[in-house]
Amino acid sequence: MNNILLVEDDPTLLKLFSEQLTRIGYAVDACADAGVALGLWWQDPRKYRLVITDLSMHPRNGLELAKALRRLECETPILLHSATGNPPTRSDMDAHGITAFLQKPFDIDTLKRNIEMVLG
Amino acid sequence: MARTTRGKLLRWALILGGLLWGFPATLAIAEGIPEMPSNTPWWVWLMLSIAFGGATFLTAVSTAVRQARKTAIQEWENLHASEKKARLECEERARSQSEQLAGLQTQFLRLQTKNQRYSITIHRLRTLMQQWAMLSDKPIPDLSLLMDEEEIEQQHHGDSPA
Repeated sequence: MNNILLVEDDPTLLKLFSEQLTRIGYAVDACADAGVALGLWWQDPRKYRLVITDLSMHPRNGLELAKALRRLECETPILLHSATGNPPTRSDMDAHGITAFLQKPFDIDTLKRNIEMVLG
Repeated sequence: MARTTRGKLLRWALILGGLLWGFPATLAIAEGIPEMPSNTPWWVWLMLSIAFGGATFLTAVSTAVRQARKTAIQEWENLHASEKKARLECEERARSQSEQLAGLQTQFLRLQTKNQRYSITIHRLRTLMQQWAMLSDKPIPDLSLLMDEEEIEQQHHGDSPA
């Protein structure tokens, strides 16, 4: 099953991403908080094939979530996206175990292509 | 050379110097004194020579020392004055630089605030564009005009992971 753990603190975007990802064939568990996402992953570490997370979130941002997941020996690919003007550098991403980054705004085709690329 | 030897040498130098310098002077003075008897014992001449010579020599040495001290004091005062001038210049320069720094800090804070506002606006705009992109089938407008040159440069050179 193509389960995706989606983390996005903007409620509108969370809803839209969930709908679009579901529409293109993925099963989505969505949450607005990095702590909740960690809990969901911890309940069943083998369930998710991909984690999609926003960068700018409170109290924990996407990089911190990724780092926490990697500390728990999570090997699931992590796709980070952000609307910020200062995206993380390659070395930042490597240090936090980020697989790929997407700059907002992106359309659903771009998201789909990136997901397929990350999942190989 | 030991200190005592140096002291002895100096003492003898003073006595000899006094004799060599003082004897002709004593003779010259004695010639001018008519009451001076011709059978004056030799040790009187010697004592007079030592007294005159020593006094003259000591006066010369004392004058030289006083002159040297005066010169040293003058030099020290000049040095002190130039040091004071340099210190005042440094203080003035430091004050001026401090004022410049304060101005730059104010300017930096203003620009930083402006930059933060700009970043927040861009973030909101991109989030809205993302919502629009998820809802619409139309292509996303080019937002490169909103990015600064550095960001565009980064993306072109692949520094940015995006």
